[in-house]
Amino acid sequence: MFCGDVHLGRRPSGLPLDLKEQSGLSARDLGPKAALERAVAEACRERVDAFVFAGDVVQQENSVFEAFGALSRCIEPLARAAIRIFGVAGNHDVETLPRLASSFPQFQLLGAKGRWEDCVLQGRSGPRIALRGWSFPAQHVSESPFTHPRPDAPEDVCAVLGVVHGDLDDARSRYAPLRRRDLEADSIVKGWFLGHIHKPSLDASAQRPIGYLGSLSALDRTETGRHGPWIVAVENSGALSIEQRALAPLAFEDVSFDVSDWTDGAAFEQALRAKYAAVREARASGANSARAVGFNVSLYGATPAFKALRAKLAEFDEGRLLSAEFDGLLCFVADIDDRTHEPVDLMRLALSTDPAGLLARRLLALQDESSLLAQELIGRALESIEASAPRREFLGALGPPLWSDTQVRSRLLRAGWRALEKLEATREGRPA
Amino acid sequence: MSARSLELLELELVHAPGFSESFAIHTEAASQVVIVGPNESGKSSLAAALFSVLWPAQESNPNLEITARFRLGERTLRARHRSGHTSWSDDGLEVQAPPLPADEIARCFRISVDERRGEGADTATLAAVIVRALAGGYDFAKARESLGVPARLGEAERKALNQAREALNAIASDQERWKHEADKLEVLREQLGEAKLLASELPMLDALGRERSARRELQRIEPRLQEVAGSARVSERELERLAAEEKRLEQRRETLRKRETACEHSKRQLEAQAGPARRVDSSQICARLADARELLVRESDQMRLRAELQVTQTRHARWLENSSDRECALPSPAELERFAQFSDDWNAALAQALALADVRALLSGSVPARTAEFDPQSSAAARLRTTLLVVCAVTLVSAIAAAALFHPLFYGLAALAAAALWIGLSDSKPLPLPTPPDSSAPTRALVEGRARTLEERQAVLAKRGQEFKSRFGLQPGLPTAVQVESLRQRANDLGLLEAARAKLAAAESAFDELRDLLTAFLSSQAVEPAGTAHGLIAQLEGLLEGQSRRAKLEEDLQRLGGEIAAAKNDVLDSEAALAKLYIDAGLRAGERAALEQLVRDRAPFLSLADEAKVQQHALASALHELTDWQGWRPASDQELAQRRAKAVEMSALADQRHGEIGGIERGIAERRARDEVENARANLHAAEAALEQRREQVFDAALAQLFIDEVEHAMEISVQDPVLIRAQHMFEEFTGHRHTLQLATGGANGPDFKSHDHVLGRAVSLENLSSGTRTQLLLAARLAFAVDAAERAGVRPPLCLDEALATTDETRFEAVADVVALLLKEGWQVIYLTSQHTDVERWRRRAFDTNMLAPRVIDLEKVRQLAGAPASVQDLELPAEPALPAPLAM
Repeated sequence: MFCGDVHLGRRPSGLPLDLKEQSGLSARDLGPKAALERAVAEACRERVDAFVFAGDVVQQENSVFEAFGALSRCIEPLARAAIRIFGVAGNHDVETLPRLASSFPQFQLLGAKGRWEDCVLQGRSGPRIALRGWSFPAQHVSESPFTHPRPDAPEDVCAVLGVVHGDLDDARSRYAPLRRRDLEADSIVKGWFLGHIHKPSLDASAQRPIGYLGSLSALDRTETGRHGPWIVAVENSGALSIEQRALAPLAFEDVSFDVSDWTDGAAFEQALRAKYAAVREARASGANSARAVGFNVSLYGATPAFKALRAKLAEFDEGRLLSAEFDGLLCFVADIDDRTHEPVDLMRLALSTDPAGLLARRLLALQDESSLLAQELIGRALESIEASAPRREFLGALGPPLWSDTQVRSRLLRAGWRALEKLEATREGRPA
Repeated sequence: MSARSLELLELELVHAPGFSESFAIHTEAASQVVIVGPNESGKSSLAAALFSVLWPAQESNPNLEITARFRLGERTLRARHRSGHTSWSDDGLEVQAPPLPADEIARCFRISVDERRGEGADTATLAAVIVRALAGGYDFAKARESLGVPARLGEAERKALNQAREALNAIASDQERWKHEADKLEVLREQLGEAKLLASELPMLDALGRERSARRELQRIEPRLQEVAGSARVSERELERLAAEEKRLEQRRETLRKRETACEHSKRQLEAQAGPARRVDSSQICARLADARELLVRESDQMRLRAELQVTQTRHARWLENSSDRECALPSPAELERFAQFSDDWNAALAQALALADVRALLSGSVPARTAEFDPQSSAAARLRTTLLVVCAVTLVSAIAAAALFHPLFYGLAALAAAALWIGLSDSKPLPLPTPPDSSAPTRALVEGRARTLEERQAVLAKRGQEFKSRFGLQPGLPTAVQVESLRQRANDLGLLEAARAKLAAAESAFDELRDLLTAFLSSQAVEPAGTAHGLIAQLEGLLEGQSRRAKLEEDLQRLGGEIAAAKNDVLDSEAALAKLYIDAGLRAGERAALEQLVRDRAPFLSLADEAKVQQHALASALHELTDWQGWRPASDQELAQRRAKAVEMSALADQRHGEIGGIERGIAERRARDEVENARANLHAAEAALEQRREQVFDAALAQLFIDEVEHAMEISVQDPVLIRAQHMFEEFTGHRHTLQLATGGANGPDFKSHDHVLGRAVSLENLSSGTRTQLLLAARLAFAVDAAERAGVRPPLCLDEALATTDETRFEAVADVVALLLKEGWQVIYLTSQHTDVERWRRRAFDTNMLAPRVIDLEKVRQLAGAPASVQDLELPAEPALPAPLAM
């Protein structure tokens, strides 16, 4: 069983403020510790041969005492079940995992002090394999781990599985930059199981999988999709079969609604309930076992019921989080990205030379990837953001906004529609 | 297409508040008109009247009544303003109003003295109107304002974030401190180990100290102990023991004497009580006593057997009396058995005969016979009844005999037995009736055959029956069964009689034998045997009692002998103890004085001995502890003390380190069990998210405002050419190129005009400009905008300058005049109102200098002849300004 970033000691965010009242759950019930306990129980139930951490097992800030204690307690059942425990240190647990290894004999740290290390593992009924791992020697590592020599392939093993924590294909990263071609070049390794990025990217069907295991459980609303440990079975031929167990107690999903057909504000709630029902059915069918699912709702399109929809969405701003609880499964709205607007014919409006027309031309330009005007707008938007960021309230408290051009374009579109809406409201003789 | 000029020809104030009479001015179609008059002569009222006619919605006053005449191209239009409305006519026909610029732009065609001073509240409004008009009716400022965010948005979230960060830092500091503490653990444990190692010598060092101390003390005690060593042989209670032993000896001797006396007395008693009887074992007497009691039982048995014999003999005698006439012998039991067999056969034959007779009777139609000639009962029930009858008879006889011998109550039992016998003898049972057979011939033949066979068998049986009767001497006329049963009873009684006689004889023989035995035994004990069993028993019990008393005396004697022996031993023991006391003290017997001295020395001896023991124990203990100690040995007490002090110090250090390590481990365990970092981190994260959300709002607002800025900028670019450039050109002309006009649209108070002062090198706001420059700026802006608006509308209304150049120096006046001249050349009509006659002269001179026509001057004093002067300025109050409609809505 391979386990991605756990981040023990970190609580998930994006949860309803009245989580306890709604469902009786606490943030702790949905956090990394609960996720790890589930994974450990699954490992014991499946009687796996080894439990492998891919780094960032603990959150750095409280790795000294709290997370260390929690980790020790969590993995005790593995030791009792005679399941071997391996792990590589990530940037968050440079100190913790070596200490755990020194105080917990059943835990074996792979690749300590930044030196590649192989460890042979004899399966209970399966073949002998080797685990190849590398651990962070310090919190920041700017050079690729592959600049260090790797040991020769162990004899009499049918497969070597690699586990390492780092940034894939980001040469400027300070967190062990990894190049995919380096990973691919290590031909004796049948599969690379990576930690660091929380979004899972491991292709279970690949012949030689290379990818991120993802966080064990969603830690914030941006970590959407399936999360949980991965069970890797190795056949005598060395072939791998990989399966992810969606054991995360908390999940987030992105959901988009086209509001074009909506005739009133209640349609939003109906659409939401339909999504909730789908999640509930998926849970009933065993596709996941989350205790809470948060939705990042994106609304787009134009509707005549624009004002009614706005009023409904205001309820979200007022803290009524549109949640529902079904037999131990809490569904809630984590965020709403409102990109709806009034029905406006931009093309026709853009024919005018008045301000609304000029604004419409810019909105149309933003919808065109090749538009130079859009590029100019994006450049000015970045300048504007940079100018707004150093406000006294934010200076020194938040990092600089790191938006891609795509994100800026998207934000600009939303802001443009809002500007058009407000501008039209100031026009003389405009009907109320 | 160029616009046409609307030139004022005549303006008459028919009725106006503050004017008692109407008055009119005539321009005579002059392009430039200068109206001069003192203050309150009606200049501003004329200007207001003109604008009321042209833009009644803007300058409406219901009390005004004005007529005017205009030239528009070749046409002469009349206008009549009354009740806030202006009607137009052309040659007596009502026509549409000429296409003048929009109402909100009307003020662009008039510059008043207030605006010239810059004190007019609507300079900014004018700018806004201009800007808005330029923007096609949209209000960028308002749109920007609605998209904006509060100035200090995020301040509360920032504060919360700072607090969360401080809380986390505090916890992190605490954890960092404990981390350092944890890092110390290894060193502390090493120090603890070393200190414990040195401190572990402390017990050995103490043992060494105790060893040295014990040896020293022993060396001091032992010589003194030798001096009183003799006392070691006595104890403190030696003299008491001596006296006690002497007293005990005397007591024991007295006891011995008493016991010897008692022994003599017991011997005499024994001799007196023993008598002539021989001493035998009590068990023999007990056996004989049992024999005597058996003899008593046998005596009773004899009596019972005799009584039974007598009863049997009586019954036999009675039977002999009853059967004395009969000579036949009693049948033997075998004969009786054979007779029983015969009886069964007889009954069976009889039953068959009866059944056959019944069949034959039924075949012949008669009633079957029910009697039998021979009735011995052969069935088991009959035999049981017979047996019961016998028992009843025996019981009857026995009861009668017992009643005669023992008690009359047995007569009752005899009566009961007799009654039972009577009932049994009188009992009889009817024979069952057979079932009628069929009467066919074969049946009859079969029946007859059977009947013959049966008759033959009955004949044989009858013969045999006669033999039995003869043998048993049965009498005819009596039932055979009763007679046979009587014979069987008699045979039994005879057997019982013989048996009783035999038992009695045996009992008498055994009795005699036992009595002889007892008699012989008593005789051997010198006792004359009694004649009865009871007597013998009493004699034997007496013998047994005597033997018991003797045995007790002998036992007493034996016990006394033992006690005497013990007392003698006690005496010997006491004597030996006394002797031992002296011997133990190393004295000869009787040396009492020497013994007393030894006893006196005993206390100091014991004290020294105890002290020596303690020291020896301490030494032994110390040596025991030092058994495995192969290490250092002190050369002196000082050296030992120094080393011990070091060990003590290390022990204290070990305790200290132990406490420190425990404290750190507890602290670490507590922190491992907590989740305060997780909580604080979650709070921080939530605060960051809240602040991030605020920043997102700011970003969204900035992006939305960016669009407004973009559009506004685009609009500025598009409108600057025809209007602002013209205004800037004019203003630069007015100011000799020192100033450039700017239109600021992004100010906090909305759009406004500014001037870029090229001398100062910066922008100067309107209120900071000199009065003349400000007027020129406004003039330039309005002129430019008015020209543009008029061109777009198609009609150029008269341009009215109300003392606009009063404070302008000559140079700038000339510049303004040049601009006005250009307008005049383009066909504009310019009406200048002033109270200064010098202004009239300036305009005239400038017209002369530029080869322009002299302006038409209208002196209001002359026009009105002072009589028509308004009573007060307030009478010419203008109505409130209506809301400005959007240009596109016009």
